[in-house]
Amino acid sequence: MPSNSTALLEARDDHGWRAGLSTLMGAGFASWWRTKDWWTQALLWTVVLNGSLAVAVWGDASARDEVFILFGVMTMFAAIAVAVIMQEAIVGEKRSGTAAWVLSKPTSREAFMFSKLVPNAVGVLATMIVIPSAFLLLHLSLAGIEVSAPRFALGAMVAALNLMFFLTLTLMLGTLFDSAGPVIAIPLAFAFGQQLIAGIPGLGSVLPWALVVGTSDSDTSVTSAVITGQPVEAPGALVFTAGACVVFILVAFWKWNRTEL
Amino acid sequence: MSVDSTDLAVQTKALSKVYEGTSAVDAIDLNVPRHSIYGFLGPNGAGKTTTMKMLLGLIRPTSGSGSIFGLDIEKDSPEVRRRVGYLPQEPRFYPHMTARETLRFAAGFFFSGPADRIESRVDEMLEMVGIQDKANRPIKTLSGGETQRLGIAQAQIHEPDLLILDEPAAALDPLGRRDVLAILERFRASSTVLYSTHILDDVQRVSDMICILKDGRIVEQGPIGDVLSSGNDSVFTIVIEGDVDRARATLLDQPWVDGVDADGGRTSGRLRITVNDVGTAEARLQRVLLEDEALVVKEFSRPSASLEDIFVDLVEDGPTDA
Repeated sequence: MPSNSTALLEARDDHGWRAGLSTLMGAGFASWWRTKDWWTQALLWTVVLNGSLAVAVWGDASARDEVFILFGVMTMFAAIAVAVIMQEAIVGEKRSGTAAWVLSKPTSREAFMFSKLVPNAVGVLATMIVIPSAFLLLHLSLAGIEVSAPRFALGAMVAALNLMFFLTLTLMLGTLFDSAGPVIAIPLAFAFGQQLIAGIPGLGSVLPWALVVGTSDSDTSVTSAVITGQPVEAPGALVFTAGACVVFILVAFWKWNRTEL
Repeated sequence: MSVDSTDLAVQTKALSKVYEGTSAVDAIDLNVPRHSIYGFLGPNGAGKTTTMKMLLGLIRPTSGSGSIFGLDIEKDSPEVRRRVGYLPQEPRFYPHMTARETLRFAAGFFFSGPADRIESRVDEMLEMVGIQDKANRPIKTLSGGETQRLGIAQAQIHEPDLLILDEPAAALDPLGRRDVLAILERFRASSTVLYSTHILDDVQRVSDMICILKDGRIVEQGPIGDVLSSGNDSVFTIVIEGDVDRARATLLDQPWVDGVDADGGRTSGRLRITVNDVGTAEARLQRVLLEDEALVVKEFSRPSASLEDIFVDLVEDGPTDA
């Protein structure tokens, strides 16, 4: 028999995969936006992107075309940061026991996984791409460098796709491993290892690397090409990266549904 | 004890869990009556936590089945979890949340509003476990005992029909333990409590029923009174004056006496008699001694065993079959 204090509360009536979703999503977003995480990340990447590009922006006029190539390269570092941030999302919760605690509530495993994927994706994209890019656009405008805002936004979305590749890869690895070592090591090894395998003819143009850094198959990165209005030399990288993200997400959900805590 | 299944909060049938060929839980049949405080005992690795996690759907049983209030623990797991509050062993919560936010978060799985009433419920829980003055502190600043209290509060936030508490008093000092036991007693009226612990004194104080696990199998299960009385069922103690050796020899001549240990001197002492037929012993024991007119029986009793004695007996040497 419920006491007065709970009898007057409205019971939740969400079932299936939606059970617990709103509560978990709220907590996931709060972990970004109600802590110092969002502004420290946003400040860090705004300073890193704008600082590293300042030389090209304010220096030799002939180097100004390099700005957008550099933009793509710098977002590669953000991708590595994403792997570092995301390795805690699943493995950290499995090891600390918070995942078991949360899943002892009436919530679905799908809702738990969505609450790791969506708030982190939004947090990462906002603080590592959207906010720094907005400042970069302002920066370019102050420097008198003309850039099409819609094309720049499209280019930023390509760079974001590269971040999503590492975010979803790390999320999936978190469901496959119980220790942080491989979850952080594999994305880092892949991030740096792409430099080596990008030289293999045919492969360089499909790796996520081609999205943000030029390869032997494509001198200009997809990001840079989109922003400057040049032809995209490695469209395969867009397809492969987007497809890989989908596969990583599906594997992560599949494995998480079978994980014992 | 025979209990109708509708009177059971938890029932398992041959529930088992095997990890890579090693049996962690081996065909256990739990019967937890509604509104009981059910102590779940066993040494480390006996399978207590694994069993609790199977009940909650966190671990899949290898075989067997289980139900909570008639709901299947696998098929109806989300519905089961609506009716259960769980305190994990060594509870960990999100470090960026405060104690209040943690309770609000836990309440969010069960209630959608109104916000002010949820807040009242949170306040009520904070007060119940005595951490209202720490409500707005981040989790990472709470002590182990305070975290444990928060764990009990979050488990009870929705007034569950069943509380599953994995070592609720483990991280607490004696005063904290006393408070937790008092809280468990209060839950009895509205809930069923299934809890594991290593603190046998606590079990003896508050439990109605106990279950002792060893190597994943139940070695004892039943009302605490029955278990305690069964512990020394076959032992009698007699204090006599007279020839102790002759009394001992007389007793050992009886076919229903298995052994006699004597303490004291030659002319008076305490005899601890182990029998194989309690009924005959109750009827004949004093009479046999009093046939010797030189003997005086000063005391006659059947000592009650402590839970610790029974636990140690069962876990160290006891049967492995339930």
